[in-house]
Amino acid sequence: MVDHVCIVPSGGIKSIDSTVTRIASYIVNEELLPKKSMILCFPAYMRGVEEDLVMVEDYPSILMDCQEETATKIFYITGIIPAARIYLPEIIKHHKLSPGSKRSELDEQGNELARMLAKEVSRVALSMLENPNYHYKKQQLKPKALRNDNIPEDPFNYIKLSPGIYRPDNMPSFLLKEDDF
Amino acid sequence: MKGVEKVNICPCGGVGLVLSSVARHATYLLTEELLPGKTEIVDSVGLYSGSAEEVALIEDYPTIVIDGCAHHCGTNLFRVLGIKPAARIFLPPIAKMPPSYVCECRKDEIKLSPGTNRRVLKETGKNLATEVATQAANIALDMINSDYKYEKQKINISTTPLCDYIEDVTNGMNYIFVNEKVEQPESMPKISNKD
Repeated sequence: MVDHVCIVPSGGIKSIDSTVTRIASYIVNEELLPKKSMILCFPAYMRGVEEDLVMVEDYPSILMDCQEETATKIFYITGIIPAARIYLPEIIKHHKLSPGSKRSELDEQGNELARMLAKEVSRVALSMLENPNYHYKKQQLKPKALRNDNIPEDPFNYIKLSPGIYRPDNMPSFLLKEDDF
Repeated sequence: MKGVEKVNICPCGGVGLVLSSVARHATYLLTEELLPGKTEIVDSVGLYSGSAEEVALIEDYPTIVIDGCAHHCGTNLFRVLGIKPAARIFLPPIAKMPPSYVCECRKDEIKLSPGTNRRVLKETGKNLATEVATQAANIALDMINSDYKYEKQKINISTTPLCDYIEDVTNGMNYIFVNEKVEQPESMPKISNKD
């Protein structure tokens, strides 16, 4: 059983989708799963800040990927396998929502999408946190080369659990909770 | 005189502290309102994940880095990539200084402080972002309008370990002050002392 999860927003700045993943992280961390979740800061992680390294090594990570899949790529080059991945473009399509048109401060549409994404992240997290049979084995960083020339497509062999929700094929399985939204 | 065609801005990209939200907000202000078309955002995670477009930007044009907190993650990114930014703005000290973007008579009433809301900045956080964007715009304009000569750089990442904490990450840059709010590596082309 795990007592915390690590929430990982895409970390980008150019697209509105990346703002949506960041705001969704705050909603999970501050409202939906306070004291059960931590947010990974990618720049601090790549800097080697200890608390960020411990977060991903000792706790299951839930990635939020935008179109460019940078969260997946950064986990791959640092040798850590996520516990689950949520792919925002599929969440948008499945729930028929839109990121809106403002990246500096989300508009009403963007905030609605961020809240839905946060609920999906929370659903995945609770599927781990409330399952006494879910066991996470601690990992150790194994940073690879920085360039993405050798990053394979789908490096973690994701298995689709639900629209937009994936698990790497060699990570512990979990029964995804029913959504209540 | 003709300097560079455009200038990049690279905020730290953090997510935990309000200061990183200030850096991000300042970046949007600069690129969308103050100098659209003359400034370009550089995405730090895009660089870490090897985006060719992001790499080309930082190799071909001068970049202003914004470091949000004492971890200096923006500077660290450039250290890892083996190149130098043209300038660096470090946020915490600026929050203790008066604003430069208002007239003398209003300097006392405009407070620069990150505030406590990382989702949406409050007024003082937006003020701080405006000050940072103004400073960045001033030096970007200097690079564009003067005879500032930027020599293209090539990233060099062959030996730099990732996720390895270096205590004094700014040491290798040898930052010197352009003015009290902006620094530049000593070895990079001189920027005018704009304030």
